[in-house]
Amino acid sequence: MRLWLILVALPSLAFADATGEVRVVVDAPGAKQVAVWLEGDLPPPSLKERVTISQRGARFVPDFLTVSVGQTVAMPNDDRITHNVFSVSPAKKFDLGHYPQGETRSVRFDKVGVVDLFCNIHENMHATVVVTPSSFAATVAPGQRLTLEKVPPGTYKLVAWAPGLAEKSVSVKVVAGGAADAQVALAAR
Amino acid sequence: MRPLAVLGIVLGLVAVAAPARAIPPFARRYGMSCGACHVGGPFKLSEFGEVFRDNGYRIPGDDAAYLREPPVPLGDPSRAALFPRAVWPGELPSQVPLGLAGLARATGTLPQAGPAQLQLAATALLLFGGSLGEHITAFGALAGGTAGLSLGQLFAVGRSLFDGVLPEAALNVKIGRLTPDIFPIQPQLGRGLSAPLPVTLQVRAGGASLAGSSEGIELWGLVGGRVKWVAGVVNGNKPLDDTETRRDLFARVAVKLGGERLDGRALTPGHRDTTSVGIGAFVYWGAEVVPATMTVPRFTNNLGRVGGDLRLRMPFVDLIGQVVLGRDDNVDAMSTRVQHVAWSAEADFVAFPWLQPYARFEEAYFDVRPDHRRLVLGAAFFIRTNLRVVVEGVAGLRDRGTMNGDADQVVGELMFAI
Repeated sequence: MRLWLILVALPSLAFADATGEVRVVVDAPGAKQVAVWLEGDLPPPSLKERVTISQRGARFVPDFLTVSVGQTVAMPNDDRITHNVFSVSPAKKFDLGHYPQGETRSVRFDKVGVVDLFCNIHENMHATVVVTPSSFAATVAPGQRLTLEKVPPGTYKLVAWAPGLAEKSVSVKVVAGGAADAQVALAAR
Repeated sequence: MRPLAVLGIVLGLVAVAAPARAIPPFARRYGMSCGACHVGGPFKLSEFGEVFRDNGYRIPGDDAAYLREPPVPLGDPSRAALFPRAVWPGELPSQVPLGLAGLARATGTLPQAGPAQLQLAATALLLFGGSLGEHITAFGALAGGTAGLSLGQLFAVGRSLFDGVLPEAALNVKIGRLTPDIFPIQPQLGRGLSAPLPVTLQVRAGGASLAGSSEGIELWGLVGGRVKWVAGVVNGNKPLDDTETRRDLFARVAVKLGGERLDGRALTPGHRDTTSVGIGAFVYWGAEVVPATMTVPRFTNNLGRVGGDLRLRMPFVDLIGQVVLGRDDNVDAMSTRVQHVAWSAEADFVAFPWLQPYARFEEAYFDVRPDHRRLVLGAAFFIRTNLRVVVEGVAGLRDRGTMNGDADQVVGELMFAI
């Protein structure tokens, strides 16, 4: 009985200790959202998570999204009115055409970079998709703390980017079971 | 056949004094660029703009979901349940729903005979468009320039009458000073600086034109998202003191196949077709009353018009053909009857969103000479969505070198809206 308990507990204890986390706060004057990701010797993105940018109220919701390279983003039209989604950004050029309420069209972002989305009917609609090379990537508001969890131990480059500001990176060291704190201050280009 | 001088048949561009065109208050209300409703910017409506207009200047469905400026409620909405013991609750726009537009125009005229002329003109437009409640919108335009003030359009729209009984936008009403909605593109909302000949044709100088606005009532509705009908009555071209002559009646039916539905409802899933074909026909029946002058007594000219149009709209070109057949029973107080046919074919291109060339060929035939044939070439440049420059050239192709020939013209216009 005692041996059985040990056999059950050991793997979970080992798993719990095998990763750490990165806690980061980004100062980005004038920006509403910041993309943050880790670069280094990391496992490839799982790409299983369903990511969506909706068209609702003649807006893209959300209008800022951070994804991993290879990720597919669904873009449903949740408005009564017809919309279009297109991009001429070098990282992804596409035009989904016009499509009505209830229909979803998707785009796979297969190249790292910043992709600006527009609607060719409603000129005020704009969204930004930051395609990162990392499986550890997320969006955070300036001044808010972001926690990247289950990061394998190692030393990584923590990168932050926001529209209109210069990209900046810092080095972070993650130890198993520990938390690495970082602060990044973005400045104008 | 009477000589031309006696008949006084003239042809010209109708001065639509204060066109209701781009409306900045709507852009503010919805936080949308002019380019949402207009192709590039003022003035030509996009498919979405037509949906917006035909649905009573509302975004179909849940209009409130698109508002960027919540209106000021005039009474809690729940007070609607108190009716008739209380006034039905309405609303006010959160900002005064006004917009301003300025137009500066230079016109160089090269008559077939006589010296060249250059005219410079500037006009200011006061535009307004605002909601008075879920089913009521007000819309108008007032122009001021060296010629004084003039009211172009001023009307209230009641949209989706009998809501709940009839489908959305099945029955709507417009009351006030309006231009009959009988053409595929309203005279004020064309790509170029001049509307096509079938729209602007005048048989008599200062006479009736289908491009003019006057007081009246217009009903319209959408059927199945593909058919639009219009019917109405207007004063037409009559002096204010005329109460005896019958009013002018008009009606139109148009069908749109392909492209965006007229009611903005969802298209079939998988729909990718951005090409549409529109077919329309109208009838206009009325009378103009011409006030007495020193030499001619007051007289009435009964007139009738029937017309048809065909439109093929594709992403980068919009082809519009129109024909209008007309008859005037008394154009000169001497019961002189004139029959005429005018037609036009226009191609509006979108080379770039900011560069939109256009070309139009148009003719008018009368059962008395002279006939008219013109070629119009132009391009609209959108410096900004609300700042437009247009250069347009008009060549008179018939009877060149004679007094009967239409003058050649080159017109440049700068227009901005704020």
